[in-house]
Amino acid sequence: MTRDKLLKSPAYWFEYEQNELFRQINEYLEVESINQTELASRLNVSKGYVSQILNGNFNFSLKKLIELCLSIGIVPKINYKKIEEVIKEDIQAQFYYDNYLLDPENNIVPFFSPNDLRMPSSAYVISDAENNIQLKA
Amino acid sequence: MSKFALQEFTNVIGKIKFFKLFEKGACQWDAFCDEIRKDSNLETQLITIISRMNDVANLRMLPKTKLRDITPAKEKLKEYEIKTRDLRVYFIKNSIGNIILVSGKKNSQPEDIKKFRSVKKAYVEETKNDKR
Repeated sequence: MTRDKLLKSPAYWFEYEQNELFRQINEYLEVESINQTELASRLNVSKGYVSQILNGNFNFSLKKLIELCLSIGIVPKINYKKIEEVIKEDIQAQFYYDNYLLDPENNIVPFFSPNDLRMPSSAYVISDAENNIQLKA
Repeated sequence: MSKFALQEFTNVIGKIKFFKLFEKGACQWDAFCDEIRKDSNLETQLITIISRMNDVANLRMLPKTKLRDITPAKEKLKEYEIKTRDLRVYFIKNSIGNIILVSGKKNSQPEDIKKFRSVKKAYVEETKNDKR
């Protein structure tokens, strides 16, 4: 199955978003040092509802998603992009990971100087917000 | 001549690479995917699995219901299972990345885990002196 086909599959993004919501809620539990029962009580929802989300199976309405996120202090900002743009960024990410290594602490380090990078002509900046890494060609 | 060979997944992109295993030139993962493609009902679950592999490749946490550590006690080389409703994928994590050894359907889980550990043992034995 090609990467292109995956990126055009609803199942691929659905799974990603379900897991991302799981991570957000899980982080909230850790920061607040509370368990699922306490969270259900705070949100005034059932334990089953919380359990479903923490199993990465959230599939409720957009309204519920917004309510849930706001109740734990975050905003679910949905970002719309053209599929061609997403595929292009994905190719750039592939290049990026192919030219970098992880050190023992899982930090990304270059094989060689970033100035030597040969990037696709369309690529000027590749940023990895999660790790606060930004490379310039 | 080596019995095993690895090939990097081209449809999983992340910090930690995923590899599929070839044993005597045959790849169980590729055969599994071909089988799944014939059953359109399961193709969505295959995509779900690859999406999860992508999360693993990017060191993103997954619920235990989706990614399970199945490493036996006292075993150093980590073993994992990615599971959907009907599909299971078994892989090990070593110094070069994640290596898918066996994949199968839910109804063959015990035999698949047995096969997974057997393949793992043979792979570890063959590669103990190199960096694969």
